[in-house]
Amino acid sequence: MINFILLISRQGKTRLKKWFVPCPERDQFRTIKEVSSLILNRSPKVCNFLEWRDYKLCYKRYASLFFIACIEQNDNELLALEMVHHFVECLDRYFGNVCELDLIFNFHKAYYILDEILISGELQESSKRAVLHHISEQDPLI
Amino acid sequence: MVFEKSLTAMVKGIRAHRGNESEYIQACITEIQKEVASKNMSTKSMAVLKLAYLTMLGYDMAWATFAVVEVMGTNRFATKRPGYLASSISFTDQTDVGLLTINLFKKDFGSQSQYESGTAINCLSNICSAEISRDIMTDLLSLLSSSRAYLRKKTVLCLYRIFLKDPPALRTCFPKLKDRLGDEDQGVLTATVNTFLELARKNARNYLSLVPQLYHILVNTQNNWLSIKLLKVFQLLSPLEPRLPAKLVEPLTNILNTTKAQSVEFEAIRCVVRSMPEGSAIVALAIEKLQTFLNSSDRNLRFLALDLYKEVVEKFKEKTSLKDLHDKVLTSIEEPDLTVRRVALQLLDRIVDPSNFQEAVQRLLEFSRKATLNDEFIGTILRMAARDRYALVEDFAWYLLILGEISRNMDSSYAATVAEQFVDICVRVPQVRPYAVTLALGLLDTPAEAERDSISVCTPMVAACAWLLGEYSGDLEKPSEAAFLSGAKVLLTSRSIQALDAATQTQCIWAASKLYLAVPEHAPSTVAQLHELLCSQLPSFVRSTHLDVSERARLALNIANFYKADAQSLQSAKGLVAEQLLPVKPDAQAQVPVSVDLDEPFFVIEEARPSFMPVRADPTDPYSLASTYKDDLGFASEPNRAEAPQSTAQGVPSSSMYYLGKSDERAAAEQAQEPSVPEVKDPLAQMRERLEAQRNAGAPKYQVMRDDVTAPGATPTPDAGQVPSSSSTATLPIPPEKELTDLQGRLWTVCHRGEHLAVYVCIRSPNLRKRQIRLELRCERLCAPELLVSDVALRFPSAAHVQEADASGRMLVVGSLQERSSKVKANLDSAPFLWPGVFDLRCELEYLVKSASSEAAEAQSLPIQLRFPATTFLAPQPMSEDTISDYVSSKSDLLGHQTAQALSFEKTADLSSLVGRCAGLCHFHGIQQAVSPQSQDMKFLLVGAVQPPSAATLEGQRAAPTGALVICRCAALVRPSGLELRITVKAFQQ
Repeated sequence: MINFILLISRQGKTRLKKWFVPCPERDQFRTIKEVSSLILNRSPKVCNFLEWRDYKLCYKRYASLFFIACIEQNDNELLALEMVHHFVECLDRYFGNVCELDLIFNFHKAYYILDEILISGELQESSKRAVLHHISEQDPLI
Repeated sequence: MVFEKSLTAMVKGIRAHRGNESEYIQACITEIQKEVASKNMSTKSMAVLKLAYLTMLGYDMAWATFAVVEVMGTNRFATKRPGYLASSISFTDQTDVGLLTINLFKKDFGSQSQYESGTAINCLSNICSAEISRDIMTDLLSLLSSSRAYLRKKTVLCLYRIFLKDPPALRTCFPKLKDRLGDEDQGVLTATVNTFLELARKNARNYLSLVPQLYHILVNTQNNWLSIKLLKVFQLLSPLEPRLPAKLVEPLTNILNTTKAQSVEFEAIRCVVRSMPEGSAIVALAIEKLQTFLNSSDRNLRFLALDLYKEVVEKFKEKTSLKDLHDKVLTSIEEPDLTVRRVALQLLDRIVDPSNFQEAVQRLLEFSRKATLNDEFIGTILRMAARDRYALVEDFAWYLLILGEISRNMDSSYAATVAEQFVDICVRVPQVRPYAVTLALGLLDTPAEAERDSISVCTPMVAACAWLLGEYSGDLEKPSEAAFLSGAKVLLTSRSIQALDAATQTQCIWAASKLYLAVPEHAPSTVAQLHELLCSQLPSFVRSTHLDVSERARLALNIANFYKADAQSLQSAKGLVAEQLLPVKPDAQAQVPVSVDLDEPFFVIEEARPSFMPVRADPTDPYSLASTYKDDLGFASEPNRAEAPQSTAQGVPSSSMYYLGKSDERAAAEQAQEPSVPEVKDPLAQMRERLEAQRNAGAPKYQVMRDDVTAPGATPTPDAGQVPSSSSTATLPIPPEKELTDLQGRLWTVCHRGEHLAVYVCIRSPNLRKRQIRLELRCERLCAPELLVSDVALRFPSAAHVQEADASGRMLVVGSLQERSSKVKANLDSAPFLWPGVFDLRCELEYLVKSASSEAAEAQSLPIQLRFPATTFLAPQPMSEDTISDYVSSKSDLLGHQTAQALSFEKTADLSSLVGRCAGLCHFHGIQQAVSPQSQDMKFLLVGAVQPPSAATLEGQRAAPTGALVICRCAALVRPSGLELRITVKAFQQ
């Protein structure tokens, strides 16, 4: 199960944070600081997993953004990376060649897409088409 | 009208105010505060959305929770959605306005639009608390069977979070949730398996009933996500259900061979490793697949493979592919990635064996020189070496040299451990001492010191080297005059010593004094020089500001002043340091049982019995135990040893149970040493050459004293679950069962001798498993031939259940009794015989007597008693001497009674086999104790356990306390007249 998802820019700015386990805001900020300094300092040559407290952090860098998923000890790391990639692909299809600015100005859209992919830290929809279909059906309602 | 800024405008504004963003944001927040109070819902909604953006930048929005709930409650999806977004970002289950959301959830769950309900479920999964859960459970249950897969899927996943908050909800939902395992929608199915996986992680046993359904899904699915989740569930379930692994072989093999997704393949490998038994074909297949992961170019896969290999190595002992793995691990250690490196080091720790240990250590040492953070490497070296008391180290001299090299690194956090191992190895491996002392001297006396005037090894190592130099000065290479001198000099003169901490200084002073005390024996010509050195150098230590340094220096100085430079008088002082030190267990003191109670009399006054004499050095008696151990350590033979020339090799007598070394091997090791080359400057390089030379001359054999000295009377902790068998005690040779049965068969006793007939009985050993005892019975006619005795039967009391008996008891003779009847067996239930004492079983003997004249037979009925000896129902209790003494000291209340007996024998050649036979017949476990080799006396300990309690009892029987033992000790003393055997029995009651 995913504990939280973070999108951190190379400069250390948070672009998206989503906790699936209730966590007070103060702790969230502390965690973000700790995790982003851990990950931003990793060299690109090293592997994409690291152990952190009792959890594992799986992250991947897409352009200027780090997508970080914090999973539990006995979860499948490759699956977490696939999930992150799935999210990125959905974003890419939705925005069309997504870049960091898209996520800054449409941060809520990123959340809505994430909500269609994950719920309570679990994957709910593995088909990109279905995700985009649901999102596009909701868009006219806004 | 409040000025309304769109989200885009705000974000643009923030980006435009680089440098003073916080000012701009504060302004925005003030604006938002006004907007939130607005009546216009879309303004309010936009304000909440902007706040949600600002929380990501670290601004608190707790003040706006009420507004968020208001926005969530609006009618339009467009305004509602930002509310749900903001609440799922910022609310927790502790947020107090959460209760206000219950009605909103209820309303939205029933909405026409699946997206309104979906958004609500998403939010619920984040902010749910037990109160909310209780109120909306019915709504969720109806969502579980909604016609829209979209909602079923979300609900199933959301439920897990709800169960965490409100565990009773699981019971309510379980049947409906289980139904979802048959859902036709793949997404819902995956979600359900997912939820069950999370539930199984909490308590797998509860979900064993789902195995058939889950198995069916696993076999039929092509979905990667689903497969992974199922494999995870089966990993959790298979340890609980022994039939499961066999069932899984086929689908797992299938997945391993066909899947194209690496994550599925990896999960399948992991599942095999965790749930399949060793040696099966599928394990081999999985390990083969894992190998390809390990060789993959993708570093993520390499890392995962390494990590999983840790489990493989732990679970499967087979070493087939280890050589390859070893190289792979060693290369992984060099990776810049700390995570990979750490896993590789952990793995190396597990796969290393004596054959590749040296190579691994060398590599680690090389890396540690290159790397900046090298403590990890050093720590791994030390941990590997120390495992199982240096089981991996074959060449101790080489390893000491490695330790020496490590100790050159001044600021390693492992300095103390290095020093500790250095000393520990020298104490445990006598053969390495000559090399070690020279190395220690070299490390202290480095040429660098002369230049920089500082010692170039870490402080704990200085102390260790000093101690070695003092303790094993006798092992210094002969002629050792120069070494003695330089050793004492380096210990006392260098100024840097006085800069070290007090404990190290004390060590150095005392080591120097020990050198001085040992000098007459090993280097007599340097007595005067050493004495002079001590007298000139110690005063500066006496003036030390550290009290203990000063005190120790004064003591050393006084010793030097007392013995002067006189080799003769100094010779008499060597007793001060003559005793060898043995490896002592860290918790030895704690193991000494606290047995001295001030109120307890030292000697229990027993009634004087004519035949009883106390046995000397009785091992079952905690007070006199010490004397036996003294014997083990050779104190009893002290006078003999004093006459023999003292040498370190004989410091530990070979009769000791702790002695493992062989003195001849040590001599061989000494011979193998080559003189060192004086030209080489670096002492380590010098020692390395020496090591080479030593190896070329044939590597010395090292023997490690792996046992620790524990205190007398303490129980040594058994290693690897074995009862420690010390060399001084031996299990008595109990004769084989057949011989015992033969012996028993000869032991017939008369249980009745009357007017007409006699009855004989032979009692066999009880069958402990069946809890039965076999009796053999026989009758003999005693009366005149004209009387006809017939139909002899023995009626047992009703409580004693006899298998062969019928209503009239066990028939011994059917028809008339001739001279002697044949043997008749009776199997008695032995469970009711609980009492370990002599027991008379009251039976009735019935038979018919008919005189030749009279027609009618006369029925006779006589009470007879079958007597069972006290030891009949004991069971041999295999124990070692130590466990017995432990039992004696801890369970003294169960051994309150003591009886003694003395017997005299003719001298027999083989007493131990005689006692063994007796012990076998009486169901005891026997051990023979060691006594001093001079005396011909022998001591034996016999232990038997009483029957475990059972429900049935016989009249006159009581249950013995649980765990009660009967302990006999026999001492056979050789007297001129013959053999005197003294037997003392201790039990819980007479």
